[in-house]
Amino acid sequence: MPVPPLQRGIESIVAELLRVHVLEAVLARPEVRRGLSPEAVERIRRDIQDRLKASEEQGRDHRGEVEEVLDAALGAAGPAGAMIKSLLKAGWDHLSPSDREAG
Amino acid sequence: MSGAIDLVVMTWRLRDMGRVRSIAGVLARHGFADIAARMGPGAWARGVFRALLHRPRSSPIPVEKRLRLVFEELGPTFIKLGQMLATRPDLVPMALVDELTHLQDRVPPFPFQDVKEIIESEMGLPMAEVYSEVDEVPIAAASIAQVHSATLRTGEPVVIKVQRPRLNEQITADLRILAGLARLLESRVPETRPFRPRAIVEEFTKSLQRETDFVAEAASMGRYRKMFEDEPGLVVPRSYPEWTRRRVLTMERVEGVKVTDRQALVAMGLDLKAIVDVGMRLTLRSIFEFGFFHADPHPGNFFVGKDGTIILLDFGMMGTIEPRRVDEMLAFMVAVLTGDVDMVVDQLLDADLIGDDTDLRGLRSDLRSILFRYSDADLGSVDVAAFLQEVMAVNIRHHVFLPADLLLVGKSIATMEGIGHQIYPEFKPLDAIRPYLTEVYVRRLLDAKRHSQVVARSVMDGLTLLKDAPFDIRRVLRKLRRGELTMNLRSADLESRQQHTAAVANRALLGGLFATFFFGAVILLDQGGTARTVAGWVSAGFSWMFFLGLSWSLLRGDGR
Repeated sequence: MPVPPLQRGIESIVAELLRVHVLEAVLARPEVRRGLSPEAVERIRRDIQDRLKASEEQGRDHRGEVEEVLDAALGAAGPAGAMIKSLLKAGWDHLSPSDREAG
Repeated sequence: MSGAIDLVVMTWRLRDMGRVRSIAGVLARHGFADIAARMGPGAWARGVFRALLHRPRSSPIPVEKRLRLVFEELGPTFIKLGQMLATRPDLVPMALVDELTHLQDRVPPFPFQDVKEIIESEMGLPMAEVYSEVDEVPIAAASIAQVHSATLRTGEPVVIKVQRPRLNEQITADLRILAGLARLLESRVPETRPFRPRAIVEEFTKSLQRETDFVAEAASMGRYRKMFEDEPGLVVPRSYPEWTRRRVLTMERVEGVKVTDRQALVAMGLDLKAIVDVGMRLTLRSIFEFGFFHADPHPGNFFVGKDGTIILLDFGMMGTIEPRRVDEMLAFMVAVLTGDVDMVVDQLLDADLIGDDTDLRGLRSDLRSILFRYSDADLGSVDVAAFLQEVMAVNIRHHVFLPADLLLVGKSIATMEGIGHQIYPEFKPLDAIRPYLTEVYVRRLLDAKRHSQVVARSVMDGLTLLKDAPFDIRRVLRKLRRGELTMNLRSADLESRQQHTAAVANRALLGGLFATFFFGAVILLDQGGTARTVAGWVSAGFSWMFFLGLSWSLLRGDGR
């Protein structure tokens, strides 16, 4: 079944967040260090990084659609929607290095 | 109270009474005469539990073994029930669990004439129009079905699994009896309520119904084949849906030797370690990657082909785990296998498995002592089955309600470990299990696709909520303004008090009516004369009726 563009867009954003902010934290968890050898951790790090980057790139062109859907829905919600939108934007700008680079 | 149980037992269908009698006969033969004596209308349910909980000292054979023999003799339903209980150390004592794992599911074959009749009735065709040849001697016979070699008219060699005749009727009657017993236990023996006998029987009923539907089994085979299409080390026979019905399953014939036949495997020049590694990997992948696993992985269902591929048979009992549950289990297993006590307890708390009365400090301390002991051991020397059993035992002791699927998962892994040790004694299961599970755990935590699906769902739910909120708030405010806002509050305590009051009022009414008609009857009968005597007896009849009603209400304990 083909993946809808919106889903791809979300996946791309999530993949970037996971790669930049979560991957190292997970690999540094004590249970992971105890359960895997350092070589295994390194192999998994490389493999997961590659996968996440691939997901990011595949959905990068669809990120705009996520924004459009959010705009439409939050716009319908009035002032509360506008406030949530600005909060989301601030959060995303803070977390996403690629958007900062682009900006 | 026994009278009340009598009345409930009497409401059972009369046609089940023959089966109840035969169950009583089997129980009596195996030294449970005490229970058997109570299986007629009487307080037998309490007798069953009393006799099970207090070992009779007269028989030299241990009670667990006699129970196992009872299950075997009582046939398919009870054999399957025993097999299910063998996976539930949280419900039955460990000694009984150990004994039930030895339940033999081998029974004499049924006549070939029955095989032919069942095939023809299910297919709606003469057997010869489907199969050009069917071997009259079965390859195997078990409590649910027996298996025959055959050849399709199109020339493919197949095996046919044919359900035992009248199996459905017998199972249905047994399940009715079990459901009745569970109902009685739950309502009359409060000590059994935490074990939720009704829920267990319901779960067991569903599982047995699935197992006796061969169309569902064929679908499970197909799903498992698809899951492992990238796995060259596994063969799942192909089913023939066009020649499969509820009671007949036609599948590809695959040649192999039993996985536990070590001598034959050595003679075939196979790499035993590789076979065991593949077996363990398949077991873990099916559980933790697909959430769909073989829930009956006993050695009789594993064969090995000439090239060392594992052949898996019998997909009647499959376990299914929801993705979220897989995450919980993975985290729990990783925490256990890496000796992280705090994480184990956090996982149990997150999954809402810890009872209110659990002493968390004691639980942590007991878990720590086990995990510490095992963390010192060489990974290879750890007996995973024993290790998991100890962890489960601690949980059970501290009233942690381990879910059935987790226990089934533990059992699957332990069975595979047992098979591994049998054919390759140097097998070090933890060497394979710990890194594998940790890796799957990390990959699932960092799976963008999965997380994005959750995010997408949450975003859509949140947006719907946000979109509807102004309208909903306006509606509530409008109702408030018009004074139309109503609230429905339910109080369990209030309801039980109302029931109690109603029951007391009913009893008072019944008592009053009984007294009125009783004394009326005495006065009328005392006065003599035909009309008065007749009226007296009628009045006596009514008083007797109200007396029965009053007794019934008191015995049932309504509104206590």
